[in-house]
Amino acid sequence: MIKDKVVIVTGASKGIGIEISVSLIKQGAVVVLAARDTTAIKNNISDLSGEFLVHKTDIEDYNSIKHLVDTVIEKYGRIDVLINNAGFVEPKSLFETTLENWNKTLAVNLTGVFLTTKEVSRYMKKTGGRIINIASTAGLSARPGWSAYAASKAGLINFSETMAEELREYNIKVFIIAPGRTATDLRRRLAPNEDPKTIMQPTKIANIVNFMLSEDSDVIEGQIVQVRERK
Amino acid sequence: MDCIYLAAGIGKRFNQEIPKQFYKLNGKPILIYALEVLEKVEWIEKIYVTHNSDYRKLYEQAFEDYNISKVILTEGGDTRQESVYKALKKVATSKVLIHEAARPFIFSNFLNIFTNFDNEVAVVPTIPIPFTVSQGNEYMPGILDRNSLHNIQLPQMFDAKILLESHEKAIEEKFDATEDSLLLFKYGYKVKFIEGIENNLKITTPLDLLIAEQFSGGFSND
Repeated sequence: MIKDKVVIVTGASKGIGIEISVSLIKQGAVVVLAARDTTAIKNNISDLSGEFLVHKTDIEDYNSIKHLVDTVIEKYGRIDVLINNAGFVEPKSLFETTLENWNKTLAVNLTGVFLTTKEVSRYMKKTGGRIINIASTAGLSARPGWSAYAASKAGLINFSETMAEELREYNIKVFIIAPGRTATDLRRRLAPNEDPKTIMQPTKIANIVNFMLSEDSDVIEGQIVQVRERK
Repeated sequence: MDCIYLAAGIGKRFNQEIPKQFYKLNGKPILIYALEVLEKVEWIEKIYVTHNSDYRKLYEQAFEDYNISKVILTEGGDTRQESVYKALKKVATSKVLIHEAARPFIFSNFLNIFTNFDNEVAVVPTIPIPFTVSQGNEYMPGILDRNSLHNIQLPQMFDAKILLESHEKAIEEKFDATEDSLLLFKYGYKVKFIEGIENNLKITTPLDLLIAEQFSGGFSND
């Protein structure tokens, strides 16, 4: 089903984003890897064969998002799948959270998703498609020291649920993944003493994405899919 | 085939501050619903949207927001008939589809039925009338057989040249018709009835809007 589909993955340079992108390229999808740091992407996909496009995108910049979407439409004529994966977190207590930190967290995790979804849906509404938003279990429960991130992901979850209802008339299906602790570079920085082997690997998320791109997944559209691994 | 999309009304019977075509149903302007469907139908080439120039920016903003690209704004007239006539002069295809913004709930499979009737001069969807109607003023002059009456809907499809000629005759004769199939019938052309759809609600009054708000939540334009 995913072969030849045009897929945009944001935050594709590392972690869950690159894992999803590589998986989709291997399955024959046309993948647009959008990220600020495109050098890291090139290192990860240099050995891959298949159709892909690397696009330098700043998800905090509306013009950059518009440029991404315009480029994809100009080159491929359509967008079948959008995976909103770009994320930012810098955990701080309430008293240490600066306005800058708060604003950046919401700008990347929530406003960026809103703007990307809006621009992509302007085209996707004509053909139908799928949008997968990578939220977090942090958006579902309290976690001291993570208020900005948790608020942004809680917002993303509700935004996604609303989009599932609102975009249904265009045959755009919206999925929500809320991963728990995942062994990414970011996680390694946030929890340097944690053994990455003891937590969930990004491939598990990529596998869930693969399922969400199949027709069998329609029964979980618009619902929060928590993905956790307990070892 | 080109399409004329009637959206120049000011909604006198609607009692709202903005024309009814801009009123939001589930956050989306009424005029956008049917336009999105028409936009997706491949055999529709251009959509001439008759508009009220006082609100031109609202039309343009709505088209931009919803990425509606087939539309060409064309100035509406003082009456519905004049609006159709002004837009009709711009139509470049042999057939023309006429629809109105006040009927948001159409879908592409229904529109495709019209292409089966290329040999007809006028194709008009109708549904049965589920209540009794009568003529007359103070007293009832007779009985109308409900089974022979039709509730006429839009969209309608016409031979564009014949419709234009009929409009020109009507201008000469100062004949006012409430809609185009009546005009063609008056000038001797056959009007073909096809089965309409009950959901093709026309929003005219605030009560219609309440009904449409309930309905639009479950509406799919596929």
